[in-house]
Amino acid sequence: MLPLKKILFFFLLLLALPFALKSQTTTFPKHTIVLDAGGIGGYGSLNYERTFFSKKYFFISYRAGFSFYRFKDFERKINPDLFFPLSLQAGLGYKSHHAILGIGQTISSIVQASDNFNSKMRHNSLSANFILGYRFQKTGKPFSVQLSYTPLFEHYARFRNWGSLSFGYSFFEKNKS
Amino acid sequence: MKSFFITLITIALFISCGKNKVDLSQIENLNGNKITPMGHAGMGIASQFPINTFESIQSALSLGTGGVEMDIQMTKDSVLVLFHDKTLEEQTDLEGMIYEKNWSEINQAIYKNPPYAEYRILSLDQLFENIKDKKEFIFSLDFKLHESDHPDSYILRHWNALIKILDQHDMSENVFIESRRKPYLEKLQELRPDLKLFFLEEFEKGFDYTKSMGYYGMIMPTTTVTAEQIKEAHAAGLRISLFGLLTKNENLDAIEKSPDFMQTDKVKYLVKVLK
Repeated sequence: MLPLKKILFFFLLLLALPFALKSQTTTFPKHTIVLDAGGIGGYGSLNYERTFFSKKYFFISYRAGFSFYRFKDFERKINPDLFFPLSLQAGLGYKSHHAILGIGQTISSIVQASDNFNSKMRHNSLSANFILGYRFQKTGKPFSVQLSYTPLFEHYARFRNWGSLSFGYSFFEKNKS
Repeated sequence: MKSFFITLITIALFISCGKNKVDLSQIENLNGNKITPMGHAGMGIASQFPINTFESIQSALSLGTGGVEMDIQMTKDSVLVLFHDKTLEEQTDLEGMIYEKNWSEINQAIYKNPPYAEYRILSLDQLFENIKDKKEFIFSLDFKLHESDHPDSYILRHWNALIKILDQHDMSENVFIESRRKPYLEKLQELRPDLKLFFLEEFEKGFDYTKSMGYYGMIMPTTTVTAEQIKEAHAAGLRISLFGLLTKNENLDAIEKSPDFMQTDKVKYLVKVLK
């Protein structure tokens, strides 16, 4: 079973922050599509990142993604393992260089054998993640690349050193006057 | 320029199509002139399922293989478990050797990969208890002996544990026993002459011994044997099982040698080719 209170708290945090930190003049991209190799989605994930606050050299964004390992389970039935990486990131940038710090949760839903191997079960779980990265993105340019250390605290039980290489494509909004 | 690219694509298509063609009617062996595709430790080393797990083995069998190869070790309290590596920490969140721990500890181990998954170590008893349609498949058991010394009492304990499980699940007919250690196989042959034993060795080093012992067959890396040598083994009444089949080309080359069994890491591909 998923720890629902933890998920609810995390989502409320994501929803509340944009209102708390009203957007100001920005040169950071508003919307970015990010392809992660590794990272908090496991072996890789496709993500949408939205910057909801930015000021001079600083920005805060949230990111939601999707990933899967395989379409068919071990009995060859269509029954994919699914992952939904969610994160909140803060960045400090100067020109093209940005330091990134973030926290996240990944919802995983994996099909595996039951404890006594006599049936098939879908194991849903929540894991905590941390992000410490460096992003390179030229000012005003859409492409970015990010290298991150993304340790996973799997099922709130096991710590795993992990990392990611991310490629992003950003969509800018016009500056507010 | 356009014609150059068309020529290039045509050549590439020709090469890729041509390499997949094998003439299955040319296969001559002691297995009814058919090669049985077997998954190496389940779905092979490149699969996202860790090798030797229930999920990996069931997946290979569900794909249409004729069986699977599995690595077997024995715990301190004589439970046979499926595990390849010398130490537990290489693949799981536990540390130490299988033979140093009781089954109650091994049972708690979780495979490290893939992230977020929680695949567990399986005992041979659990496998035969739960695998679907087990009597339709072959299970080739590769006994890994990572301990430094093997007194007779240890060997006997090993084989008694195996015999008990095979009898309990009525699986003697469906199991191959692989080992590169002669005293092990000789002891098992003495205990249970009805079992199908395979000596694991390169052809030139092991053929005479295997033939003299009257074993069921030999198992060897595909690169160490020729089609002529396999023919010689067949003439001597020995089945041949090949492993080290990591790429498509290695699988195709192995088919041309007419072995009886192939333990492949390209499970899906080999099943498709041999269909």
